[in-house]
Amino acid sequence: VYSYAHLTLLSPISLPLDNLQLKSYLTSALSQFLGQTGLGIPIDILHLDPTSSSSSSSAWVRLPRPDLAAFSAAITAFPGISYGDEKIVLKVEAAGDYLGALVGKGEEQDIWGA
Amino acid sequence: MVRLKDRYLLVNIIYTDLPPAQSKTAGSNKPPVSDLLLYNQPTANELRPQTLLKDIRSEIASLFGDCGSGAIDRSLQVKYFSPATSTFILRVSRSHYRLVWAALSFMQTLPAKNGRPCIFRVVRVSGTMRKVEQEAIRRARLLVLAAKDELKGMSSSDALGALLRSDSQQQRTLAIVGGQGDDSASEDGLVED
Repeated sequence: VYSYAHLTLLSPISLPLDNLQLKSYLTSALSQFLGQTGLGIPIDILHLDPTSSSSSSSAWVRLPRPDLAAFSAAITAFPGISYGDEKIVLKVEAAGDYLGALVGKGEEQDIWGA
Repeated sequence: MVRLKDRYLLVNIIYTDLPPAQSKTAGSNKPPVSDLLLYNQPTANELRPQTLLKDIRSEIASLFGDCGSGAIDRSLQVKYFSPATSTFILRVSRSHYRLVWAALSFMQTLPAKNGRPCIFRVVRVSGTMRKVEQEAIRRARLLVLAAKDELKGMSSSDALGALLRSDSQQQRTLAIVGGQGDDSASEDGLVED
């Protein structure tokens, strides 16, 4: 039915992330890797963490289950947006079929320290 | 040894920009042309297989992006192109032939500047070149027979039925045209799969 992904946006400057900005990055990534069929994948943005640290922000998205593999591949393959000499890139922290498990995994780092 | 399997697609170019009711003008000097032949008319010689291939690749890139382009890049080739019969044979890898088929469905015009509007219709998919060639010959023969029948004024004919019918069982058993007239299509030349 649905799958979930936890994405991180890494950027050289502190970029205030909002839904529209993220949507445009995702659209870029999907259309480059998958063309119009990629643009047809309905992505729901569930939650945005604007500044978990100053240079990276986090997002949780939901998408149809059959499209998870293609979506992950598209995000991973995305060359990023150039910002002068540097790039703004997206990273897939976690992806899976159950949101609870993904959230839990994210919290692991905080619990066990690192 | 691992076999690299391919699929061969037999594709017709159907022209859609026809003047209306051409064969019905009374007292015209030209002999009437079968509508079926008008839809399946020859292609201009300017269209070359490389141009066609480039156009298909760009359609796949637009529809399926880098991933789709990469999937078919090695294996996509125009194996045969006949402007006279507006027919061509594509080779694709077996796992991705449906990508190419989908791209063909989205192409609306000939790959040229101000190309004529047309439909690319896949009429046969086969694992071997030989079977596709046989099918091309068979269809060409049926087309001639169906066009003759249409000019004779027969509103439905066995050749036309065999041409339009997608039931492969009956296609195989249709030895000579005749004696199989059950659900032949009766519209002139409108191809419907």
